[in-house]
Amino acid sequence: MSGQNGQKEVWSDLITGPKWTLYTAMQHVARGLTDMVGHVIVNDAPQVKEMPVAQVQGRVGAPGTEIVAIYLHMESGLRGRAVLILPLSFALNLVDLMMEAPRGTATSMGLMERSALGEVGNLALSFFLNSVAESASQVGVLQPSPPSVIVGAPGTVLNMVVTSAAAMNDELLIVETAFADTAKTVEFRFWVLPDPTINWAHD
Amino acid sequence: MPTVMITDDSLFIRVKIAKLLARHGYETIQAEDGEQAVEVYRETSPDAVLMDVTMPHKNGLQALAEILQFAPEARIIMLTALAQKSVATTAVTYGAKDFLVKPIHPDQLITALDRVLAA
Repeated sequence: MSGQNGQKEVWSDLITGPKWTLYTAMQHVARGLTDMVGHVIVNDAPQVKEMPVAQVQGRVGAPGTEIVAIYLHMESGLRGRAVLILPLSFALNLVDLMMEAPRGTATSMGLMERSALGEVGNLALSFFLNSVAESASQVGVLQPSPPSVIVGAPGTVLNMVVTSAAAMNDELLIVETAFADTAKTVEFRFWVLPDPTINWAHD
Repeated sequence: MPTVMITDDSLFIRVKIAKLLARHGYETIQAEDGEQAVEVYRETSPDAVLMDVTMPHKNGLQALAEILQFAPEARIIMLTALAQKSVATTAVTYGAKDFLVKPIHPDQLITALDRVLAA
């Protein structure tokens, strides 16, 4: 099957097909993150949302807050991008879990802290792609890019993450899943965005 | 003391593994990507290599193939979050001694290293 058709089929299955494929993929992500941080991480049901770009900013964070985004491309097999978004305070708590340090130890985003969060993003997207790959052999190896960790105001983060996708469309298609540890010390949203150049919805 | 080269673009992973290996009596050197891994291997010939797959500049599978061309005796263990059959098959076909899926448990890593070094 050709690359473009294969991608279209896989995205179509994920977005419009039986929900279990997407649910299973996000459960894989939750299990992988649980193993990684040593605390139980659970997920809500993934939601597929098509929303105007202007509304997306509101979902990233309130003005005046500082947020962290862990941003990756899907580099081969399946084209798209993924972002983990969380408030800075939760990001620091997540770093403490990764470093096996008492909560409150991490107080700023230095090199090590950014690297720890980058690894969270790498693992989250890899586990998502691993799950999709089990039923999508026609698109070959599904691989994430190295992660980028962005810290800033919601508008700044949004511009960096969705600008090129938004330039092509007035609306963005986002698969959004909420994750949290059971103590609610870490909560984040995981967005998966199909490549807008793939006309997956139409034959 | 055996020397292990840790190749991963994640500083967090390199430091975490280095601390673990130090506790078990290993010396370590680090490389940030596949290109650096090939250069460092040429210069130092470590006893074993832990190699991430997804890295910028040159990925782990490319570095694995290149190192084994000039050092067929190299003991390279792949580390990756990509638990996809084709990735594991490629790594083994190229000559990796083992393939571990992240997140890696400390006991699992030490067992894999001990096994590879004993062979």
